[in-house]
Amino acid sequence: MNLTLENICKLFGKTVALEKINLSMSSGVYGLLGPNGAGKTTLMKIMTDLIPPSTGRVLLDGQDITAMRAAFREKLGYLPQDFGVYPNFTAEQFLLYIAQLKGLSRYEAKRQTDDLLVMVGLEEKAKKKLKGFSGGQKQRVGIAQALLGDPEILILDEPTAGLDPEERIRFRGIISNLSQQKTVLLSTHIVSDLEAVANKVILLKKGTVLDVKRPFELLEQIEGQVWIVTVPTAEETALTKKYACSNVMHTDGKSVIRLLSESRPHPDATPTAPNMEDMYLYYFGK
Amino acid sequence: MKTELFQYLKNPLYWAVIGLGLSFRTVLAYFDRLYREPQFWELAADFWNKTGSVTVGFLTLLVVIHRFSYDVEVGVFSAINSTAYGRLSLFWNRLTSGGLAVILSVLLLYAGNIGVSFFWGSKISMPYGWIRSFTYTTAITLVGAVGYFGVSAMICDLTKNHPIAMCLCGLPFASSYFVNAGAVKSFDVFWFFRYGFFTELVRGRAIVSLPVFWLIWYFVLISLILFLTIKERRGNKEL
Amino acid sequence: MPLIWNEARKQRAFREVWVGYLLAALLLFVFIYNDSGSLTVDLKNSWYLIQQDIHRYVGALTAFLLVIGLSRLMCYETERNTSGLIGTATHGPNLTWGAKVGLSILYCVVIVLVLGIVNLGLHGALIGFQDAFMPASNCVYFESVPLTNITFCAVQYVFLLLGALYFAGFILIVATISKNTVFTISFCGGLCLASFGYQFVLSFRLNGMLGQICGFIFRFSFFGFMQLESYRWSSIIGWTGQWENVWKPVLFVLSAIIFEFAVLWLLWRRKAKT
Repeated sequence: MNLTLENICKLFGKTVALEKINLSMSSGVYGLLGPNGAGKTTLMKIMTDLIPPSTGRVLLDGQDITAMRAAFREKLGYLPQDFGVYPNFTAEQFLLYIAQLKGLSRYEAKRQTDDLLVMVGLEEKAKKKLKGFSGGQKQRVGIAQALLGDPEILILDEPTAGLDPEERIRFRGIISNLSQQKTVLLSTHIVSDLEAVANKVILLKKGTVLDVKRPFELLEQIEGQVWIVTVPTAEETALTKKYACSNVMHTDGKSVIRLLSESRPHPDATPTAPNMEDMYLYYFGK
Repeated sequence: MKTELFQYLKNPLYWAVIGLGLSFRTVLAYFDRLYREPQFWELAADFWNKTGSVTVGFLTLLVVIHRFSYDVEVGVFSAINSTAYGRLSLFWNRLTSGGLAVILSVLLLYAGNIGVSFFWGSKISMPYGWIRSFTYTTAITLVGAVGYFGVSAMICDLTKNHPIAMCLCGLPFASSYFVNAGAVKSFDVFWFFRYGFFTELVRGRAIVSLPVFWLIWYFVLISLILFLTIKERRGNKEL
Repeated sequence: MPLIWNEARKQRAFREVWVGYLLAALLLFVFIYNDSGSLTVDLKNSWYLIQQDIHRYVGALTAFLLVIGLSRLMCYETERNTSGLIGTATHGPNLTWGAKVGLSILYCVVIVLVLGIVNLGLHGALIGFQDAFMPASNCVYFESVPLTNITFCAVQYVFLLLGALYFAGFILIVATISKNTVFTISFCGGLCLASFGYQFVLSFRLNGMLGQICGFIFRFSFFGFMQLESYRWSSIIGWTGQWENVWKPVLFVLSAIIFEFAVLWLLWRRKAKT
């Protein structure tokens, strides 16, 4: 199965939200990374056929998804960014409702609802009303509803927002298991999630795709450009103003600074292995 | 308080409702001049009875009281409630500035009706004392409008739900127009509908039947709603 | 059918709907209580008075309950941020539209049924259902009708139901376009009040071309049908119509209802812009 974006552009008035996006995705996990306002949500909405592109099209195995209509949505699971629920529905009722809209039979809807509630760790709260759920619990309900119908394409917008570390680890496990047979696109600001699960990372900045690479390939690009230096606190400001800094720690009157630089930024600086946050700063830092 | 007042005045809907009311009055005045010239000034003085009071009612329910539930609707309530002046003092500020906005609207409608009537009725002789008489009815409307706003605003604050407040305050207000004053007896249910929810005052009519009773009634009504509002705020730690 | 119950479950969460039910029940009680005196005093004209229930207050109560009950129905998905889920589910848009429209129709039927049963039942009981099965001798809207008193009163509620469906379609269209509950309540409620204001006050003041235009608009508007004025199908409002012509306004209102729901379907299927 192949999901292709051909020359996707999106304009809101005079504002260019997306410009000439060309992507091709097969099975696996794709991370969509970019700063706020880069166009991630807009791109995802176009890919789910919720809003039309200004130009270009999205093809699934060569067919335009707009023309496919329900046939495309049959294969789709979507978790929006500002995911909302009906407060007076219970978790079970909500999932059964979404399952009905997805065209599942009553038996299949009940079976999948029960399985998914167990998968996201909410089986004990199945009969509780959603208005009593915490933000993280609602998010888990959102993940569960996206998985209803066993969709081949999963588009998840900030799926780990509001989840605690244990829940995020559980989520990564779910996604990893699914990635063999499905195309998963997830956007997040938590770069460690991408490092853990993504096969490829799509970097989006100001509506354009900067690069599409595996996580380790992106890290290789900034190999040798990440440094750690310990300086007196008085010197901190000068360094942080001059270089992009991914971390500053204060200890014993000194500042331990982690920064990016093509050449040694300070006589005492030592090179260190880059991580995904450094990579993010490299591509998107000011 | 200035900020809150500007929030009301910046709202285009505020001006749209006033504009709509005056436009309607302009059209009616034109037809009054064409077809009912002898009663032109009498009908002009009757402005608050129908067009004016409906405009004030709409403005209050649709625009002015919305501030009291808006924070909850947009999700900033928690943030505002956690600030130093985001609780009781904000409530009083909103109540005061909302009252001022309503007073301003009444004055604008007053001036607008005079302007429209003078424009269309320039060739029709105005009865002696018309302006004084219209100003007197406007003063009554002012009192009624402020009272109606106060009660509606407090109900909106109590319920934190604009549609509910519109329902609870709009229905008694509107039903008063359909109650025939000549056909109701004192202490009848419809008598309360007619006189008990500020509509009569907003329509520029002093309540001449049992005025002391109604004075006490309105005092008790406003006090009761205020008491319930403060009690609810205390319970929700919004004081 | 289960999806309609899900929509009803959503509607149960609208707090203003419960306030509306309470107020409507209170007002209904007050109106019936107020009527009880005149009905028992003037037995000869009782059924004639009962015919005017809809005109006097049932139409207004129905309009009120429709505005309060349906305004949020189409806006709810936007307000609760679930429109993305509905839009991406396989049959989400179609099934949800069907369920919401189904619930709206059911809601109209239930309101008219309850109001009709309560009014006709209580008013009829007050006069002991005297002359209920006698031919209707004196009609408000038609020169004569080939129906019994109680049947004609019941038929009037069917007419009210058609008017209610006509109004419901309009409310749903406004809600779908605006996606704002308060605006929908205000706009539809304001139109309601303006129509009643026209019917009871302005119609006597407006003359000439403007009066004719307003009369024409009122006659073919939802309120004309909900107040039963439009079923007369006479050349001038206020005069009685011919029962043989009643199929004309009924055909019109049915066509209008179908047209409205077709427009609603097209609006509901529009894609979002952002």
